[in-house]
Amino acid sequence: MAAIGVELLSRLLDEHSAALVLYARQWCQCPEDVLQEAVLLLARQPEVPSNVVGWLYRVVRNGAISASRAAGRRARHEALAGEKNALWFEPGTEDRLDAAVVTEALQELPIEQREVIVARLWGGLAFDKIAELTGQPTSTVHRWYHAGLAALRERFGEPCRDKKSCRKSFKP
Amino acid sequence: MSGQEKLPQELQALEAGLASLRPSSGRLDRERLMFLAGRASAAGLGMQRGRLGSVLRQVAAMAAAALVAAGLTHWLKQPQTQVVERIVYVPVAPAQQQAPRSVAEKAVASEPATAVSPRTLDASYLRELERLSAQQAAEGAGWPAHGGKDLSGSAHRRRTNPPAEAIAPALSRRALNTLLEELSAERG
Repeated sequence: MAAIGVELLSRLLDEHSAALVLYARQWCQCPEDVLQEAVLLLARQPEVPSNVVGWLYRVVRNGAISASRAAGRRARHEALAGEKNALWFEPGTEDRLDAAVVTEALQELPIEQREVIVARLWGGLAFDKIAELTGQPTSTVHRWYHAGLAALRERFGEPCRDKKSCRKSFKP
Repeated sequence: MSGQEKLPQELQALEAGLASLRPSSGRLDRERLMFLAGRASAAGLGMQRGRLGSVLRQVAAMAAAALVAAGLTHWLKQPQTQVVERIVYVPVAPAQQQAPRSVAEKAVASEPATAVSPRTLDASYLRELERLSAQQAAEGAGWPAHGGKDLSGSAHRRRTNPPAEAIAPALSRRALNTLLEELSAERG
């Protein structure tokens, strides 16, 4: 390879591919294709970007937004229906939170809050990096993050009419 | 998180719970993606070399065009060949004259060849020939003597209009009559 080595690319995919796919899901229903295009673009770069993870998140974000616009309104309706059934998280028995419930709750959040939460919690990006990524001030990013978590907590902490469904809800 | 970004305690628990979830890779094929990345990397290197060759070819083409332009400019600035026209007189022997033969020449052909140039037989010339023929016939063989008073102005005409002898000295009476007959036939 000209610029990026095999080892570096392999490590990037192992550590960040799932989070990048989850990040791309916030806009489009083809997050795997968007990530593939971003990785191929990275492979063609003459030099490795200084902040390669931030670079990947930026390229994935732009690609996902473009794909969403290209899909059109009709496809977007289909995407919403498909997204509700797509697995955002790996199912696990030890998890305190139900993956499907979390997915549904995240989908109900505004896009800016959801984007910040996904980038922060599963992407591992710092708030200043998220601010550069979204083009917003760091204080705004903080505010969105807090508001999103509060909304999720309220969503999970709603009194459940059905105890069975509450069993898989958030347990403090 | 830093102290300034410290979340309320209830949100910190939620944050920890959410972070414990593992995102799904979906349909992503890691091995295939590595293969495609390697091929894309090799293609990118080839494109870089191709770009360099393209740049070199463009530079060579521009240099050749500049060279051609410089050569054309030098060629155009050269002084043009001056054309000098000179009149060269080439002596031509009388016998080599190949001009088209007029009716007068045909009439003269039977007569001994003399240094007489063919003349365009216009109407005035024909009238002069007729007049001289009539005068010759009236006066006999000779022309009217010079010095005699000529009230008709024939002497003046002789001076301004040379006599037939000067015009066509080789024309005999017989040839003159033949010429006049042919001219009349043409007019008819």
